[in-house]
Amino acid sequence: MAADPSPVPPAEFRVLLALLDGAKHGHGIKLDIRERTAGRVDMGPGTLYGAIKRLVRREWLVEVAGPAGDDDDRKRYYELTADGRKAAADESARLEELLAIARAKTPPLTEGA
Amino acid sequence: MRRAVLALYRAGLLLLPPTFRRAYGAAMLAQARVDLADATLPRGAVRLATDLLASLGREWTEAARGLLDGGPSGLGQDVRFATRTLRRQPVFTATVVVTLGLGIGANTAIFSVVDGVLLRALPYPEADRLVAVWPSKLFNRDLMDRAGRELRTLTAVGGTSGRVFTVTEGGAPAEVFGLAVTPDFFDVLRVQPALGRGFRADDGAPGAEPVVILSHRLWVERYGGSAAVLGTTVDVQSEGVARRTVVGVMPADHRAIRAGAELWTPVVTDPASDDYTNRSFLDAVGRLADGVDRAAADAEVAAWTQALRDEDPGMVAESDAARGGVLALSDELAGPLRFHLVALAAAVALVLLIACANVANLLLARTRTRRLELGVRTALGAGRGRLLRQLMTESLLLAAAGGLAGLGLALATRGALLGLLPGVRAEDVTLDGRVLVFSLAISAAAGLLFGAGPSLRAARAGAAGAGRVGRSGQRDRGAAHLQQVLVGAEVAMALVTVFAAGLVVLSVRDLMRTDPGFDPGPVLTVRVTAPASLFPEDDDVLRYFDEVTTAIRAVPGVDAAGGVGRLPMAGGRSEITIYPEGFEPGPGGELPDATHRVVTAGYAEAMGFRLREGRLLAEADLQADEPYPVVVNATLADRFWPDGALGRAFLGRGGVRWLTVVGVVEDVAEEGLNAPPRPAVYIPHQDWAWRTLFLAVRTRGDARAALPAVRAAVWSVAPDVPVAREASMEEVVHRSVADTRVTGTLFALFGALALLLGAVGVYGVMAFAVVQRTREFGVRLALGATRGDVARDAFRTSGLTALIGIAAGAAATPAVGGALSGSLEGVRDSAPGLLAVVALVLLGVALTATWLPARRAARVDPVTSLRAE
Repeated sequence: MAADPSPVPPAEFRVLLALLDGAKHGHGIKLDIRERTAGRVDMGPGTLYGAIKRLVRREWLVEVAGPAGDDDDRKRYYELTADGRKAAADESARLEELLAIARAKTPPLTEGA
Repeated sequence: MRRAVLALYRAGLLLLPPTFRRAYGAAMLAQARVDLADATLPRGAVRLATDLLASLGREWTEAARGLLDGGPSGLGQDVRFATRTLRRQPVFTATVVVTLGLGIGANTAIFSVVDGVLLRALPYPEADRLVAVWPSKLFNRDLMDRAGRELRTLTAVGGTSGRVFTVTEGGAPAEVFGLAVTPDFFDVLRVQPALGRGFRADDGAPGAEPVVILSHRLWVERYGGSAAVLGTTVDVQSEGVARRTVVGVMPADHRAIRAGAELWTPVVTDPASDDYTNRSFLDAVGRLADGVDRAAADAEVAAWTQALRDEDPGMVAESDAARGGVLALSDELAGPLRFHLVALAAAVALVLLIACANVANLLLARTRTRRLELGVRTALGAGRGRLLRQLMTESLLLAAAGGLAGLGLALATRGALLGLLPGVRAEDVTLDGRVLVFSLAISAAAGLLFGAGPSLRAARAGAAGAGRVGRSGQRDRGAAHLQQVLVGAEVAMALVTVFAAGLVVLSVRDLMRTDPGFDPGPVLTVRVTAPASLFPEDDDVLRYFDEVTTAIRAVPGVDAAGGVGRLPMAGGRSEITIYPEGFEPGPGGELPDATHRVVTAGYAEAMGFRLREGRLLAEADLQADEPYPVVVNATLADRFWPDGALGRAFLGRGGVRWLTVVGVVEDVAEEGLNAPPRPAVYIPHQDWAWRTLFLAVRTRGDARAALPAVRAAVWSVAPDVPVAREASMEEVVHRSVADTRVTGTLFALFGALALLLGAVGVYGVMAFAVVQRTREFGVRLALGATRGDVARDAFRTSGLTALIGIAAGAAATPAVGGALSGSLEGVRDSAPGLLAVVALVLLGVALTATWLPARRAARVDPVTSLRAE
């Protein structure tokens, strides 16, 4: 079972990826995702915090204190745990494997024909 | 505006599961504020709303799963326990389920119609971008072309006009309703025939080969559903054209823009002719350009219409110019039905609220008797939250059962409801997933509404009463207070509903009593179209109707017969601009309009028009040359020639005809019983040889009985002519107020339901209060109070509550009356004495419902009552 971890839902995976390069607050996560998808993926508050909630419950994220100087207590910062990092890596590997299969079977898809 | 959206969003957050909301609600709100500031308003708001809805679904699903997985303390156990409890009290459960079933059923039934007619998108691609361009019937071909060129906010504009066609092949000769459309009309809707082609621009050119597109149904029924019919000519007659080439067949699921339309022809108008710029007859449909919203189009069209009028006052009447704009096509098509449905939806919502109040009262009463059970459970360790969950589970279970009963009711009454609503297409009204979701939603809302108060109170009382187990007879003042408030609210809502019902019913009665200006007695009416194949020219049409009326007059039992372009009150408007002799036009050159009717000799006699002076039109008048002799109504005569209208002349029909008044008749309610009187001109048929006339036949005895003989008389002149729309004049009058009458019937039904539920509510609470106070009454009787004292006391509380409820309801009636009369044609805003009668009825009902238990209080036997504990 461990060889094929169950897939991480897209919204949650995106949040994990957004946090790979360091702690961010909720809005920061949203902005990171939006930038990296050229604006195509823009999470609403419910989607974003729903995903955060589930990730916190799985203990892939933890809430951390904001950087010194940020005293806006509505801003909440999140950081990946070791498990979260591993989950992101596992999911990436799983997707890569799937992509490899897809490439092997449908060359035109990747050759841009 | 953004602030309002945020306030709504904040309120929406309250609907999230509490744990999730407490953890993330504030963060979500902060995020929403930033998001909203980044986006344009409607888009941002819509995105927030969809995100919140999705989130609600997701989080509640997870929360529910968590509860269900919660083992012995979980939701599953609650449900099982609640089912058992409710099953043990079948009378209580049945009462609640029936009450809720009535309320939810009525709402579901009305919603299914509202949804089908008002809410559901029209079956065209991007139908929400389609608009009706106002004013309707403004457009002639020239304006149509200009609208297409000049309006920037609309990408495409098409025009339609209803037509009646005669079809003789493939079955009995019949009239078929169809639409004459501008060639690009289907492109505006973005629909195309399933077979063959749509119209091309040259189909609308003068002299082009006449073509037709058939509906799928007509194609199957009359032409065998064979593709071979494409390219052949078929007998589809109208406007002097005898045969047309079939160029296309619409898809089976295509829904015509107007109900019942089965075929389409291109509007053919010669740009060189007068009609091109003069005859206004088209309804315009447009499609909004990309990125344009309806408000922008509305503003542009309004300005455009005004500019047209400034350019040439003769082109657009002042009243039309003021009405320029666009309306969502779906709203336009629903027409006045929209207002009836909204009023009905409001009435059934009140009925459901009353039902909820009733159920809440029953629950309150019940929790008081369940105090022992709740106390024991608290003593055994159940917390307040746990009790609350248990009680709410019961409420929601009851609501679910009520919802099922309501769905059943809605299903069972669907046929009857559709039969009552003649303006609704049956295929539009389906009890499908959307309706299911709606009834589920209102059931859940009802469950929360009636369950929350009593459950909270019971849970609190149960937790607090843990140490006082067994003293169930003690009165709970808070609960009793809540019950009185609920009863008061019920009485108020019942009063409002019954008042509204009374208003509509009385208005319909008064409408039916209005003098129509003629004698609808035994008059048979049929519609006949002169067949173009046999009677091609105007003179032939005149000859045809002359022969037909002569033949009908020879039928035994017929007293008089004549033809008219449009029957009174049968719908459709014909107007002409007139220029009366001696009339001084205003500074804008504005000329008056008049209702216009082409008539043959004998029509006024057959209808029983009342002659005020002069004479009616005779046979000889129909041969006369200009100036044509005409009959006008009293309003026209009095307005323009107060010192005598006979012999006066005026210009009519766009200023091209001289007309001389030979007679004046009393006003006839041409536009409907409710319409204000306006000038009308009755013009001989030869001025304008309408090919389709209604024939009015006055008979001795039953009008309908004459139909076979009249039909035979019509066919004696030419066979294969459809004799359509047969109806007695009384039926025509009746139908003209059908919408209002049906609304009246349904209102009366819902009013009665509200009254019944209200009475049951008052009785239930009162009876229960008396039972609760039996011991108190016993003590007082034992201490020397008279039976009258006790009864009076029992009476006073509820009597007062009922009075307060009645006063509150009465205070709301002016607003209700205003809303009804403002939206429903023919309904007045008040009726003398109605409020008093309704208030008395409710007071009577409330007092009776109070009196029965009060009498029982007075009969309490002190000894028994003291033992009752």
